[in-house]
Amino acid sequence: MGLFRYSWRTFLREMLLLALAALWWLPFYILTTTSVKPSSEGFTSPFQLPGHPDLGIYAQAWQGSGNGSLGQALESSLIITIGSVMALIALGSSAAYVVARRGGRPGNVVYLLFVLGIILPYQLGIVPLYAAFRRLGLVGNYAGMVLLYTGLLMPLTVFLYTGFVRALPRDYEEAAQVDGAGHGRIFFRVVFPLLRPVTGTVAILTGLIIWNDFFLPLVFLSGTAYITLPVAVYSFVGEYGAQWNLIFAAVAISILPVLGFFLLAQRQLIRSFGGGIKG
Amino acid sequence: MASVTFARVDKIYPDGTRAVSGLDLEVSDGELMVFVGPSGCGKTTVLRMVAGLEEITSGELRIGGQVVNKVEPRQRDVAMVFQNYALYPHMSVFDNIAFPLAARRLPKREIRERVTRTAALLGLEEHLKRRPRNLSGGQRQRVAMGRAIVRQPQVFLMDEPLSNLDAKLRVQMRVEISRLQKQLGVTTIYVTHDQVEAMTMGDRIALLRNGVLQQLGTPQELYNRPANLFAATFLGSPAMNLFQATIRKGGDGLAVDIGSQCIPLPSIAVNGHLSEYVGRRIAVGVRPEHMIEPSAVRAGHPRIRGEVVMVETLGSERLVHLRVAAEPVVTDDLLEVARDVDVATVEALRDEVREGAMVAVARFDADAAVSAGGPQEAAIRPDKIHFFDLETGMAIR
Repeated sequence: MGLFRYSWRTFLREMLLLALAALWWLPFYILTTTSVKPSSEGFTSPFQLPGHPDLGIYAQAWQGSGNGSLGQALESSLIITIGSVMALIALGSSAAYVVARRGGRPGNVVYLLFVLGIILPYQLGIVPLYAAFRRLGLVGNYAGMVLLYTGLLMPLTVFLYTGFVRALPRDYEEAAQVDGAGHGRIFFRVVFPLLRPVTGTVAILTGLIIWNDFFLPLVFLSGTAYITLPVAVYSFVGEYGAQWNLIFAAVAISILPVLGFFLLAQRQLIRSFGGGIKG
Repeated sequence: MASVTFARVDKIYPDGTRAVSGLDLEVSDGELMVFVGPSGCGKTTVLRMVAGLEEITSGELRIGGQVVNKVEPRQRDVAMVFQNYALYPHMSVFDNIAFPLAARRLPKREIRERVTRTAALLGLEEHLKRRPRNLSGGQRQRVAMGRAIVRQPQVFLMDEPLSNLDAKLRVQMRVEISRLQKQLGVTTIYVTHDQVEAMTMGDRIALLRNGVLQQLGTPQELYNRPANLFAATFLGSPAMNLFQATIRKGGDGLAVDIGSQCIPLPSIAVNGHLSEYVGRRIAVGVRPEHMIEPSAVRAGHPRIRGEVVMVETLGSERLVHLRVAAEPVVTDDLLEVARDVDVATVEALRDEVREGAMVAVARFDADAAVSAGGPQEAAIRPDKIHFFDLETGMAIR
């Protein structure tokens, strides 16, 4: 082996791949540079590095635009996302377990209804949904949003869990049954821990959908102090123009928690995705 | 500790498959009963019915005198060792063994004491903190045993617990399980399709075929007095040699015609009902160890001639494969046993029928002078000849 570990071919190939990877960084580059440039500079020279980076734009964005601070929106997003994901996991996994294991024919019908729930666009029912929620006092608060997301994403959650439970060998449950465990203990002590890989998938998938959702918080939370990050970011868009540097700074702030979570939990996430069941 | 009684137990699956038919037997208190048979014979279904994992279609199942047909698995006080052990992969060895005790809400101190004692009994003390996936096959097997015995249940159920182990470990664990069972004195139902396990471990063996009990008895009874062709061929390795033959009167007694050979039967070989079969085709069975070299016996023994096609030298003995001009016995029972061994065995049996000659295996002494290619006679121990009705497959006694 020589000192140079590449041949010309492999060197070119690797350079090409690096260039391709850099392409993925481009949006982040534009996001971060624009967020510290004066508004005008963002339009005149979008790809250049900022002449005088101004971190004050972040402070300004953090203050928000009248509808409460970005900090408050961050708190709302965290509460709604974490609350909904926890409810989805708790209810979805147990519902899927029943559908997959004790269903029989009725179970299949219920499963089919859940699958239909994924296909049908919820936007069609948004008006009666809003009316009903308002009558029940669920508009403009956390409980309403958690309930809304739990309901809307339950089909996807049940679908994912059911597929996994069906592939899970029954032996563990039967062993637990003979060992003297009741239904509750079998589910919480034996089955649920075995569902870890799919629980990871559900948490990330539904978590991202809820975190990034713009439409529902706009409809159900507008005008309250509980708006989530995407709505708060949008509030920098005015009728006659947008303050792009503020918007990009706000977007950067709203990405940070998700990015931090991925970096911290990366190893566990990959393990849970690729783990499966090992006896 | 308790007895387990099956009273006319049937199991029919919703799709109409009849897995168990009219099972009638009692496993006595403290006994190790082995259910054996080819795959699909219903033995695992029987076990799962005792565990409560399978509903009983009709009949009655009693554990310790109490009818348990409708009793939930967790209330039956039985413990089961699964074929793939079914150890909870996310729990440590300690938690796996402790699980049945925790499910019964025993105090933590007692759980710790009992798990520690069980682990010591099975030599698992060092592994209590490890996860099942970090254990060897034999250790996992021990953990599964531990989880079963820690509860001191009324009945142990074991579903082919050794089938995932390599040959050497299997022998070792076989001895260990037998020892433990005797030491604890717990009634045990053990399911296997391995006849060696059945013979060596069972106090009694229940031989099943297509969900029907074929024969029930001690290993020696089943081996020495098989009730039918199925029992005769299933137990024993190499299997019993079965020749088609015609029974007839000859000289001062009975004789059998095997191919062109007429073999007179000494009176010791003849039993009560055999004379009723004069003139009819029957199956004659002789185990390999009862076909021996002629020089080792007196002159009066019946003999059979053939051509040596192969000699297997095993050190302590030689297996002589004799090609005998005789029709082999091919019944549904035999085909089923053959199929369970290997598809090639079924083909070999069909070839023999086509050629009108079969290969019988004789067990000669290690120093017997015999070589492939030549003609050879084998002496048959007259008191060890089995006769079967070809139509019913039942032993003629």
